[in-house]
Amino acid sequence: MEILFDNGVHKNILLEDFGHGKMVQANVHLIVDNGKGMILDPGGHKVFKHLLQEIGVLIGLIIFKTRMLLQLQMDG
Amino acid sequence: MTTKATALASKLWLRFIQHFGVDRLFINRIKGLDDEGAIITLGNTDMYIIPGHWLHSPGNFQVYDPVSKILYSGDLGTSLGQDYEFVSNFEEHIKYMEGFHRRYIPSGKALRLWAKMVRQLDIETIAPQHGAIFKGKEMVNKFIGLVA
Repeated sequence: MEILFDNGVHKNILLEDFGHGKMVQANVHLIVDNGKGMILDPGGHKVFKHLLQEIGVLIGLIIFKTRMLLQLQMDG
Repeated sequence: MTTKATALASKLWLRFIQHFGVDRLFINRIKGLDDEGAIITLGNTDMYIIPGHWLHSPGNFQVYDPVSKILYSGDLGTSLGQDYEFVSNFEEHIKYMEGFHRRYIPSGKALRLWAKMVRQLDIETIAPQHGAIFKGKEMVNKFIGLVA
């Protein structure tokens, strides 16, 4: 996990590459502003479980009203 | 989806996603984006969903965050095979991007239109979906200059 930007209320976080095997290396990004989150390219159902777990630790799933931007390709 | 999330995707792809075996509960949670993109509110910030069509899919969008000044460029700027997260030597980095862009993003017209559009934005970082990140205006401008 890498913090790209943080001013206290707005954060840009580069999450782990959750891929494995022959999957394409993919950066999953999380943007959080005042407790609301947006995931970019969540990566499909194979990595979603791991992604959800990490985001739950970061901002808490109860307040997690997220948006996802889907590219709808095989790699997410 | 196992959360109450709203998903955003190009309207162009909404009819195709149903071929992935998802149900109506999922489909109804996707907000379709028109070709021109959108401004959406995240917390107290307006996020810009900007067109990136043909880079490389026909219905493709990038995200510009005006607070962090990060442009999330999707597949544009992808690099494969390098062992670092941030680009420090742009000229040396080109070889890791070249193969992907020649094969997947061959349209010079789409790239020039993109460059013209993003030069109007104040960008500190370009963060692709795959590979290393371009941090700092010098790197950002070098990348935009390369594809223009």
